[in-house]
Amino acid sequence: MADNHTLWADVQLLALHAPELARTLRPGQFALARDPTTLDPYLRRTLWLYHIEGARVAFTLPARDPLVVRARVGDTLDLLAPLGRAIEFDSNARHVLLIGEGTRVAPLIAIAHDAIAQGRAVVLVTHTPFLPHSAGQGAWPAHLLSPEIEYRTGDGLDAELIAWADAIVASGSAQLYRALADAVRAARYRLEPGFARVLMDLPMPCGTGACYACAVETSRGVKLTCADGPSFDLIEFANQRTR
Amino acid sequence: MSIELAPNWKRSLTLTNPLMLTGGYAPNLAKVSEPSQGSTSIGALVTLPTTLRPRAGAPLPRVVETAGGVLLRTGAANPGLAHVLREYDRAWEQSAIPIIVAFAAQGVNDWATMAAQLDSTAGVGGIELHFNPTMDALDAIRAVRAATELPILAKLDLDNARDVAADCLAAGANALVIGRAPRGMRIIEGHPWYGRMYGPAAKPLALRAVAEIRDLRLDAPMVACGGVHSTEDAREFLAAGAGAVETDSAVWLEPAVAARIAADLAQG
Repeated sequence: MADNHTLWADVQLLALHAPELARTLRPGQFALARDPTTLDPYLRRTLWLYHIEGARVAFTLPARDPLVVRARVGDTLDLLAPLGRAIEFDSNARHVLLIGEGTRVAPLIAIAHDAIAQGRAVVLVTHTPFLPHSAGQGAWPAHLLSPEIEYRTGDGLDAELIAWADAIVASGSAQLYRALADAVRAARYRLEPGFARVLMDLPMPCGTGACYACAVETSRGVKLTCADGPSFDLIEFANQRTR
Repeated sequence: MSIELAPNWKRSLTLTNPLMLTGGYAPNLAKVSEPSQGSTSIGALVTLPTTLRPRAGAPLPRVVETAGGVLLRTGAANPGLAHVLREYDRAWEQSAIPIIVAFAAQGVNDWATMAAQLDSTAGVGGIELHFNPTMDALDAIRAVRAATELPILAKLDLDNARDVAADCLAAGANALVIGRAPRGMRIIEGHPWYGRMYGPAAKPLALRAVAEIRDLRLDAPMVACGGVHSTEDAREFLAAGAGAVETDSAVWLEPAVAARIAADLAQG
């Protein structure tokens, strides 16, 4: 472990020296981590990719997590990674809209950088209307973002933005995802397969499909967030019951 | 090494290693569970509890941590037997180890239908039955027995295993699995949250139940299950009277642990 500090609010940054992972991990994927010296806490923790620089891979996770509290720079973590499917944009997707809520913006940042590196225009929005008015649930701080990301706060479901976008990735609540589906249908008349993806942030105890604790019901049947996700096509998820 | 879980029955269920892995439906888990060197393999794979039709499962969250493990409440989320067979029948057919299909609690008729479908599915070596309190366990075993000659393993709750074990065998089960993860509860945001307890804290409870069943001197094999995270854990269960041992949540933490325990047990 190369770094362990609070990035903002309840978001902790863990940076690891992990050369092999730095070569293979892709935005949208995740890692499951544990302290190899103890069974407490019992489950592996989900680490969301934040940034890769050389052999250094930075992840985010909740700042109050026991793994965060105990881990010290120089410690070794046991990782299962890369897990899940990466976010891949269609080659024709020139305009990418990323919509997050509060701390759930974190997993979108690596996706933003990747899209920009591929020559796409990116707008990142912290969607604030559904956020509870409690500490740490505000908009993602602009100073944590690099200048090439066009950043907005407020209504991420703005019709003009959605009309501008060739692809959308959202990270937030079920309420956001329902509203996004409605907004896309209103702005573009229909929700096309592949147009919008949503990130599911659920406990994923095993990461291998063994436990089915992260199973979600989609229009294409029961799927696993760890193996089939963690992002799903909004069209698969939009009409399912809220959890 | 050879462990027979259906002695004196029409179809045998023979394990070459006493370590059985539970969870998933095989391919990805089997890969990470095979030792990188040598030919030692786990004894069998017991699938995720499955229903005839797909089941979305319990509302989220389905897992809550507690000291010594987790409470898990999946609501038997699974893709349904037809999907499982479509997806995995080839892998099962080619599997070097028997696949034991676990049945999640549901209607007895659905169990009978599933049993009949699996009867001729290549690679399937047995069926493991998971009951719930609303089911008549004995009727359920009889219905499955009538539908298939596959060996039946009855996985019993720890709190009543001693009371029902002999009757389950009389109804047609070939072996007992002791047992299902114990039920537990936490208060989350002022409300009770129920689930089954997985983790090291479950081991002493399961170990005691295994010893109690052993003392009944029933003429049937017994598989132990509960909190197995190491070779030492597995050996304790074998010493307490089990013929084989299932491990489940340990592979969530360390996918290769099953292979490691199996290799250790193979060495004696």
